[in-house]
Amino acid sequence: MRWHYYLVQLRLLLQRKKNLAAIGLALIAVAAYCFYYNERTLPPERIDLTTLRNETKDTADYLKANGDATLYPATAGRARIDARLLQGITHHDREVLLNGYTARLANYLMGNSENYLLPLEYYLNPKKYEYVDKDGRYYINQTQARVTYYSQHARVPVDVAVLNQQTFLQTLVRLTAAWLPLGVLILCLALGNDMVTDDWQHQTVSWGQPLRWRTRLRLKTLAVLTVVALIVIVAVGAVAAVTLPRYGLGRGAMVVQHYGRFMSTRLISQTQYLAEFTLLLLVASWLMTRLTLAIQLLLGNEYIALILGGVFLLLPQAYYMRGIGFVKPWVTWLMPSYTQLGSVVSGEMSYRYDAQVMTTSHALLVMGLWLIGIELVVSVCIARRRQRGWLA
Amino acid sequence: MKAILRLDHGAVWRSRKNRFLLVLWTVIGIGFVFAAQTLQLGDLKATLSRSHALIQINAGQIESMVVPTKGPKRATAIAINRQAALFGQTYARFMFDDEAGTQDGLIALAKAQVKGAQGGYPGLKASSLPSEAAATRTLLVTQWLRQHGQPLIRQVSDAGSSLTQAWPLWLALLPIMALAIACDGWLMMSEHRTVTATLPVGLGAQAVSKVLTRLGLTLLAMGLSGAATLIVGALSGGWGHLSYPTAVALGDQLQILPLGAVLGLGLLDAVLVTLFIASAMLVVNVLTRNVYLSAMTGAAALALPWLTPGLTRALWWLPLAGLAPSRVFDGTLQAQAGNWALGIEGSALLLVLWTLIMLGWFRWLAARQVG
Repeated sequence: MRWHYYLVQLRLLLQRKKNLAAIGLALIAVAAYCFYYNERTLPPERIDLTTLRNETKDTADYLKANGDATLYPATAGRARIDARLLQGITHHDREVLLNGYTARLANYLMGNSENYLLPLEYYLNPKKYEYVDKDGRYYINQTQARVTYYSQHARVPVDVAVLNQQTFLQTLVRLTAAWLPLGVLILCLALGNDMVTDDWQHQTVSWGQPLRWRTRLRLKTLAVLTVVALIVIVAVGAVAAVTLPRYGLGRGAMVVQHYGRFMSTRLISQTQYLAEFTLLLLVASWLMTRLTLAIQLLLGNEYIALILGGVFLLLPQAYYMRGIGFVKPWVTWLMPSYTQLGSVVSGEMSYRYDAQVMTTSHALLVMGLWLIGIELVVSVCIARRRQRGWLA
Repeated sequence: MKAILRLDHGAVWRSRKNRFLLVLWTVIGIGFVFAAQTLQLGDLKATLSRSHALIQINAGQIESMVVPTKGPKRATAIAINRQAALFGQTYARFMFDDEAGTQDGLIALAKAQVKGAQGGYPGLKASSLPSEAAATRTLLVTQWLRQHGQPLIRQVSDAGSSLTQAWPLWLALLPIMALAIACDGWLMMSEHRTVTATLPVGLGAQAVSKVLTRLGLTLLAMGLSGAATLIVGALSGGWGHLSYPTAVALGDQLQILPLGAVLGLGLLDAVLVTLFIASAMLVVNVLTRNVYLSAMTGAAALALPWLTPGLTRALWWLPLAGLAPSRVFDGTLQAQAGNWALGIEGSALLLVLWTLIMLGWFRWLAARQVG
């Protein structure tokens, strides 16, 4: 009976025009990420081979035209670094490549007031890099932590793709930072917003079924999550198809985690990152689906469920500001602060909110508390509706 | 006609979604003052330091390249340096509580930024300095205050300052509200075709009644949320300056109007925007026969003037500009293009024309479907 009910819910879900449109939009978003946004969201300090070749040639020409390299120590130094990088890349020499890249990062980090240059992108995106110097140092520091690890562990394979975070696992880490979990939560909302109210248009059918309401809601939640999980698998498959043949798997490339008050970082393995992320994603998507079901039971309308769920996801717009967690610590107890799940695991959220407490375990605690509240609402609503004879 | 109006009125009011939207909009109106204080909207000190950060970022960008000793790139570097110097003067006067000096400094800075934006900052890859419209707004408002010897708003603390910050958001959310209320306009009827066919009223009259009832509800929601902001602001710090100068794009250029007049104009524009969206939604309803698909189509249309302002300027004869009233009012879409159709009156006129076209189209479509 349960299996059958689950299958029927799945079929009903896939028959609605709205859901088909939502799935279509999700697939378009996946394609847009693979073919457009993926290449445009690489770290600003990445190595671009064409630019590197041009710059090497330009600086060489400049030095040749001006005679003496000792007169231009900064330019000559940059030319040496670029040449070393280029040599490492073309000869597939791991050691030379890492040395060159370390020197380049040091050049970014140790610039003085006369020679102060971060990669241009840090200046072009004031929304993301609000405090250019601090944020630039933060992200470049993270890259440097990875590079230091690579030079200490000779078994990790290193090429340009690994340094640029273009390999499959690293792309997955970048994708799961914010866009994947947000998309999953929006999908849970869009698919689940009429799961309960639709039954009320077929009262005679739904009254006759020998299933408890809690069981039905659980099966409905599972049906929604099944479709969402399939789309996530498609997304991961698409990312794999785009990155694996070209850049490789990227095993052992590690993920940098920020913890504590300021620039303290440590490295965690990709397995640990993805495991923590998957756990958070499961809890968060379960929570979101239950929330839409609870709103439907409470207020009895599919549109209200959709709008209220949307407001829930957009809530940080009304209170988020850089460092708000330090000024107003209560925001760390709001579930919408944690929707960018991968950034929570990697500690970027705690950096942006300036709240040490925003770690994976705290996120789990907050989500758990919210989930208990939502389940209470669901139970009370079911009991009340049954008492009044509105539910079987 | 009266009977059909009463029928539609009842249907609109009995919809739980619409009642919920009314409550939601009022809550947004109430919460705006608190959110604005948390996010430091309209806080003069925060605005100044944001402005400083932007100048610094752009200066950093141009410094990170090799700036030649002459030519347009050099001119950009000099212009940004000059802005940084002017900002320094303004900020020093602000810190010493010199109101007139702060205003003079802001006027000089805004003039420099208008000039810079007109030149387009050659050499900067992407400038995040204020656009020409934004700098002109600051310039006009500060000049008006300087002439009349009145102080700048320091932070959101009373009704006047709350509304000064709230009206752009209020106008930006207006089309979304109208869409949410009007997106099921015709669907109730098309699900009951026999009723539609037997009603002793023509399709045109039915459409007008549907549109008018949605208009009433949208105006009520906007009015409630505006009143809520006004009252919460007044409770937290008195009425404040309710005729604070506000720069809006009248005709083909930005002009100063008192805040109250801008709100009145906004309400008038809200009528036209809602009329257009409600009538366009009737057409979309007939075509898609699904609430969600209609809302999605509508949302895509609403996003166009925000995502592609260039397209909106090129296709000025479409009602796209009118769908982003906040950007028409603050002159962002106009961008000193000198096109009368992108100002408040021009976009309003276009909205009226397109409302009539939509109603006519709907009548033709629905007649074909019923008959």
